[in-house]
Amino acid sequence: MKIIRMIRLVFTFYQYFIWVSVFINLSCAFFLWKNGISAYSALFWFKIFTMGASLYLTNESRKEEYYYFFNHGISKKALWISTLTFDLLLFFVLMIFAYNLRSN
Amino acid sequence: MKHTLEISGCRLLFDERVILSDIYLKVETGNIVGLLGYNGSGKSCLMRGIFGTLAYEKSVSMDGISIYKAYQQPRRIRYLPQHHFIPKWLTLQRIFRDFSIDFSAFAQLFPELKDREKVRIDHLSSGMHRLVEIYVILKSETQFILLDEPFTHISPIQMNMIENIITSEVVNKGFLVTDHMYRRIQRICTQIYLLSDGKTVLVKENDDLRRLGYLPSE
Repeated sequence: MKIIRMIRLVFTFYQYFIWVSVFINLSCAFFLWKNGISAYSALFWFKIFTMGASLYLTNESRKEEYYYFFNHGISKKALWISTLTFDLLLFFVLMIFAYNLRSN
Repeated sequence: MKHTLEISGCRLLFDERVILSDIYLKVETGNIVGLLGYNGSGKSCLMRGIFGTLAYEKSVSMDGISIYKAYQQPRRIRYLPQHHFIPKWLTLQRIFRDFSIDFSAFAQLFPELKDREKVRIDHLSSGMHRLVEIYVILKSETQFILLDEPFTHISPIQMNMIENIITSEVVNKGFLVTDHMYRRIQRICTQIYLLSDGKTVLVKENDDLRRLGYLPSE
C-alpha cells in the first residue's frame, strides 16, 4: 500500500510537466523519423536542456507545493530523480520506436 | 507514551543579519506550544528548519535522538506551511486518500463540503482551500505538528472549529503553533515563546509581550 501511495504521489509530481514533456518527446521522435539517426545527438541534448528547464521552472513556480510531498516523507531529490529518469526512459523508447519505423 | 521534540543551537544569518541565534524549544505530546513574533522575525524559518526543509546550523532531536531531515519521517512530524501547499488539480477525495483520512467525518463537521468529494481543491474558495489543508494535517497520523499561521484566511466560526480539533488531537500529539492571533494562541497553548532578536523568550502574560515590544504599551 505504501509503495502504491508513493508511486501515486510521484506521478502527481510528474503531472507538473507531463504535457510539456510528452509534447517534446513526440516532437523529438517525429524529427528522428523525418531526419534519421544523424539528428539523434542534437535531439538528445535538446531533451536534456528541456528537462533542466522543467526543473528550474517548477522549482521557481511551485516552491510551496513541495510541502505536499514533504508531508508524505518524499524529498525533492527523490521526486526529481524518479520523474526525470522515467521521462528520459520514455524519450529513449520513443526514439527507438521512431528509428525502427524509419528503418522499416 | 510521551514523545519529545527539542530544538536548540540554531544559527541562521541572511546577509550578515542574524535571524536565529539563541533558540531553545521543547514540545511534548499532549502539549501545545505557541510561538509569537513580529513579521520577519524568523518563525517560518525556524519551523522549516525543524521540519528539515531549510538547511542551517541547528540541533533537532526526537525522544533524545538527533534528526536532520525530520520530514522524511511523516509518522513523527508534519508541517502546515503558511501558504497553500496542495497541488491545485487534486480532488478532495484524492487528498484525503493520500493522508489516509476519512472524508465523511470532515463532511459532518463542515456540511458545506458534503457531496463535494470529487471537486478539485482549486475550485474551492481560498478559505475552504485552507480549511482542507489544516484539517488533513491536523488529522493525519503523526506525533508532532508544526502549524504556521493556521488561523489566517479562515472565518471566526471555522477558527473555533479548528481550535477544537487541535485541542482534541493534542491527546496524542504535540503542537508548535505560530500565528498573529495571539489571544487565540494564549487560549490554547500550554506554553508561549516570543521570538525576538533571534532568541526565544518564554512569556507568561501580556506584560511580558509589552515589555518585549510585541504588543503596544497601554
